Amino acid sequence: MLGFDSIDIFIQVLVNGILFGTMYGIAALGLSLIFGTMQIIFIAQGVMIVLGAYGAFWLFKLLGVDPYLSILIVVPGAMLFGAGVYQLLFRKISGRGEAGKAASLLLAFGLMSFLENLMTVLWTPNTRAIRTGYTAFGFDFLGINFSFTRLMAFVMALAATILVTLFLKKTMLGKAVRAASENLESATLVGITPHKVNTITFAIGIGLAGLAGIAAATTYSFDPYFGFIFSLKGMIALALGGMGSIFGALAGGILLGVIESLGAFIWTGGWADVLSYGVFLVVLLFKPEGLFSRTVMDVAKP
Amino acid sequence: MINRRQILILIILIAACVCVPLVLDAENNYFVYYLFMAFTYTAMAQGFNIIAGYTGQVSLGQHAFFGLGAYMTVFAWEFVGLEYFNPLAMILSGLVPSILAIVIGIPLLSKLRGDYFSLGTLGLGEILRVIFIQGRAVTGGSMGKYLPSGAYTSMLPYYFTALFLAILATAIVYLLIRSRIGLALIAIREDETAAAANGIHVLWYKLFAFATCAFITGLCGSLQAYYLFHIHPQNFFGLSWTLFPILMCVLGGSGTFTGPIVGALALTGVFELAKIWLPDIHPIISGTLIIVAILFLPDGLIRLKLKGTLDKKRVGQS
Amino acid sequence: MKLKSNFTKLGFYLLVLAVLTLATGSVWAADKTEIRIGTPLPVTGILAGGTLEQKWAYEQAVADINKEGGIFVKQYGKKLPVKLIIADAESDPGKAVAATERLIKVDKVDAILSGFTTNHVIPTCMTADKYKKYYHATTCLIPPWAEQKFKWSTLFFFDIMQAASVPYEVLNIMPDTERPKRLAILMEDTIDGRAFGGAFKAQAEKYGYKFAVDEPLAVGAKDYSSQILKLKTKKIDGILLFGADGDCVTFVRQLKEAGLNVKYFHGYKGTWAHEFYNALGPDAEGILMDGFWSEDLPYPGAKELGTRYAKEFGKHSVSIGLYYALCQILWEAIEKAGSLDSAKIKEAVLTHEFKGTVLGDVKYNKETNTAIHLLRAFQWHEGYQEVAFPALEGGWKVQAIQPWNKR
Repeated sequence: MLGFDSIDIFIQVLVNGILFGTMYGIAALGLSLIFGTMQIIFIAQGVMIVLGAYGAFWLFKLLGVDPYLSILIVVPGAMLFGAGVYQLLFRKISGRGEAGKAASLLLAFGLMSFLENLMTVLWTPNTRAIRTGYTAFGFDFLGINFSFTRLMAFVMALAATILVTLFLKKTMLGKAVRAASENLESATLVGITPHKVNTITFAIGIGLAGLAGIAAATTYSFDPYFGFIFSLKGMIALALGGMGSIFGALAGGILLGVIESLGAFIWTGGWADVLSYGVFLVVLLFKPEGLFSRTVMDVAKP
Repeated sequence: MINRRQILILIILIAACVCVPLVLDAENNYFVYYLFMAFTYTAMAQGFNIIAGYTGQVSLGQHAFFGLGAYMTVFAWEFVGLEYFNPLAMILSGLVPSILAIVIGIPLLSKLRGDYFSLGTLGLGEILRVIFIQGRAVTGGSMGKYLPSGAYTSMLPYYFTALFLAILATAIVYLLIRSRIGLALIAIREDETAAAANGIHVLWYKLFAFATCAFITGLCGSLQAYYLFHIHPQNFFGLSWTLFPILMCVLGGSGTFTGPIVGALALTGVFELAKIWLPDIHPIISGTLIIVAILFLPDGLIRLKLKGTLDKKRVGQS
Repeated sequence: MKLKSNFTKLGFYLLVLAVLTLATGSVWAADKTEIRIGTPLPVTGILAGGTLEQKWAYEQAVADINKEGGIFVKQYGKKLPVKLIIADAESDPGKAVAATERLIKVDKVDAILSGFTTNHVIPTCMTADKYKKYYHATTCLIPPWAEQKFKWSTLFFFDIMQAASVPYEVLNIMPDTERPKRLAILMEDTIDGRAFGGAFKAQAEKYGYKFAVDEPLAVGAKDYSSQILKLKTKKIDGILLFGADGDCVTFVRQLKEAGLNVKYFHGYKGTWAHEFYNALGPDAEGILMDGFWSEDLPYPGAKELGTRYAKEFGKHSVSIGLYYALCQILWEAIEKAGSLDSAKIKEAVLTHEFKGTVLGDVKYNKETNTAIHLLRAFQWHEGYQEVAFPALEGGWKVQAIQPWNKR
C-alpha cells in the first residue's frame, strides 16, 4: 500500500524523517526563543547557522579539531556574537511596536545579505565540507538504518532543548526571560531590564544556531548561501510547533521532516515541498498557536 | 494633511519624467532603464504602503502576487491570444492576484495576529512557487514559459507603463488618505479593537487594502513578464520582489504619501550605482547601507525632520 | 516646515539624477584604445561557486592575448588590448538581464561573452538581440536556445542527444559481469534536469536500457533517504543522477549510510568539481561525471592550461578548456572580422574554421548558429578526473565501483 512493502519500510521512512527533521528543529530552536521574547522574525538565523558551520570547518581544517569537539569553541563564540549583534544592531530598534517589527525584519535581512556576501568575499563561494571517518557513516540497529551524523544532531538538539528549557524554568535569569516574553512592560515594572533579557535571548538564540551549524557541517557540504533554506524551513517548523515553546519548535521541525520524508516516499521529492507548505498554511489558519503549544496565547484579535 | 505645494512638486517631477525619453535616447541610455525599474519598485512600494504602512498588516507575500500576475499575462498571451501589452491582459494580471488576496485573506486576516499573518503570507509565496514548479504541462514547470521576444520594438512602452503604474499607485494612496477608507485603515492600524468598537468592519477594510496591494503588485509582475519574455518560478516568485519594495517603503517612510517614491528612487539608484562602481562587493555595500539606514533612519528618509519632535507618524501625515 | 525636508529630498534626488546621468553619458569617446568585452556572470548568490572556473578561464584568455599585445583590428590599424568587464548577474535571470543592460548601455561593450547556465543565457541573448550586440554564448542547452531564433548570438556547446548517450556508451564498455542490472534515473527538477531527463530516456530506448526507478530530485533538498530507500527496495545497482554539487554530496553520503552498493554511479553537473571529491574522499572513488575537457586531451595548450590551473588552485578542472576555447574563437573572429562591429564579428564566427583551440578544431554551423563539442565522461580515481569516455589511447579504463567497505 502506498509503496510500503512492509511495516519495516514505513518505520524506516519515519525514522529517516525524524532524524532529518531534527535539522529543521535545531534551526527553529533559536528562532523560537528570539521570536518568543522579541516578536522578531529573525530571518538571518540561517546565515548564523552557516557561520557556525564555517567556524567548525576552519577549526577542523586549520587546527584539526573534531567538529563535535569544536562545539566547545563555536557555541560560546556564537553566543558572544549573538550578544554583540543585539547590542550593536537590534537594541536600538527593539520595542517600537508594529513599526519596529518591520524594521527588525529588514535589519535581519540586511544583516543576512551583508554576512552572506562578506563570507563570499572572504572565503570564496566554493562549497566546503568536513570529511571525517563518520561523516558518511550509517549503521543498522534492530533492523533500522541510522545515519550517524543525523543521530548525533538529534542528540544535540534534544540536549539543547532540555538545557534551554531548564534554564528558562529553573534559573532566575531564565525566569526573567520568560517573564519578558509574556509581558515586557510588567517585567520592567518588577525590575527586569529588557535590554539585558534581550541580550541573553539573542546570545542563546545564536548559540543554538552555532550548534545547528555544527550539525549541518558534519552532514552537508555548504557554501555561504546555504543557510536561507534553514531560515525558511525553521520558520515553518516554528509555526507548526508553537511560536513560544522550545520543545514545540523541535517537535515542529521533526514533524516537518516526517511529512517531507513521507511525501517524498509516497509521491516524489517535488511534492514533498508542496505538502510541507500546505500543512504549514493549514496549521497557521486553524491552529496558529502551533500544534504543540500548551500556553494559550492571544493569537487572534476580534 | 497633504500640502498643495507637495502636489505641485510632484506634478513637476512627473512632467520631467515624461520628458526624459524625449531628451535621452531611450534605447541606449541606462538612466531610462534605471527609471523604468525605479518606477516599478515605486508602485510595489506603494502597494506595501497601503497594506502595511496604513493598515498595519506586514505582508511578506507580495512575490506571490507578482509571480501570479506574470503568469496570468503569459496565459493570456498563450491561451487567449491577448498579446504584447494588451490592456485587458494586464488588468487580468492585476485582478487574479487580488482575487487570491481576498480568498486567502479572509482566513489569514480574520484569525491571525500580525506576526502570524506575516508568516502566513510568506508561506503563500513559497507554496505558489512550488506549485508552479510542479505544474509541468500548464505552467511549464521549472523550465518556465517563453514569450516571443520578437515582439519587442522599443523601450518606450515599458518606461511609460512603469511611470503610469507608479502614478496610479501613488494616486490610490493619495485618494485613500483623503477618504474615509483611509481613516478607517489608519484606525485599524492604531488600535484594532477600538476601531471595531467604533463600528468599523475591520475585515472588509483589511481585505480591501490587501486586494489593492495585490492588484498593483500583479500589474508590476505583468510588466516584468513583458520585459523579460521569460517567466520562470525561481525568478518571478523570488523573495526579493517582496523584500526590496518593503525596504524601499520603510526606508523612504512607511505610512506617508511620498515616502515610498523617495525610497524607491533613492534605493534603486544606490543599488545600481554600487553595481556599476563596486561590482565585486556591491552586496556588502547594500547590506551595510540597509543596516545603517534602519538603525539611524528608522522612520524613513522622508521623516528626517521629525527627529526630536513629537511622534507624528502615527497620524498618517506626510 | 514640511517643505524644507521635501526640498532636501528633492535635492537628494536631483543629485542622484545628476550622478547617474554623468555615469551614463558618453565618457568613452570615439578614439578606441581597447576592445571592451562584457560578461554577465553570477559573482554573488548561489551560482557564484559554480562560475569561478568560467571566470578564471576568461581572465586567463584575456591575459594571454594581452601578453601578445592584444588583437589586431584592421579598422584601427593596430593591436588593441582586450578589457574584460564582469557585471554581476546575482544568480537571478532578471538581474542577469539588468547586468547585460548595464554592460551595453553604461560600459559600452563591443561584444558579450557568455553568462552562465541556460536560465541566464537565454534572457541575456534576448537583451543582446534588443540592442543588436554580438553575444558569444556557451553553457546553454541548444534546443530551447534554438527555438528563440536569436539574430545576434551564437552558441558553442554540446549536443544534448550525444551528451545523453554517454552513460550507455560507458555501460557498454564495462564487462558483462560488472555491468549493473537494474538502473535508476534521478533528475533534478530544473530546466537542465528535465531536458536531460527526456534525452536520457530517449537514448536509453535506442541503446536498449531500461530504468527500474525514475524519479525527480528536488533541488536543494537536504534529505534523499526516502528515494534511497526506494532504490534499496527495488535492488538498484546502477544510478544516473543529475543534480547540483551540494545535493550530489548529500546523496552519496546518504547512499553510503544506507549501505546501498552500486556498481555504476554517473553524476551529471554536480560530481565533477573537486569540492565534490573533497567532501567524500575515497567514497567518491569510481564515481563517473560529465565534463567538457581535460588537460590530458591531445589539443595544443591543453596540458599547459590545466597545469596552470592546478598550480594556482591545487586541483584539476574538466571545464576550463571550454571557456578558454570560447575566448580563443572570439579573439580570432575579431581579428578575421577586422572590426568591432557586432554584425561583422558574428559573420566571422560563423564562416571561419578555428583551428588549434584547447578544445580542438571548431566549426560553427551557419544554419543553426551553433558549434558542437563532445560531452565526455570522467571517472574519479584517487582524486583525479580520469578520462573515461571517449577513452584516450593507452589511457584510463572505466571500472565498476567497489563496494563501500572496500574503498
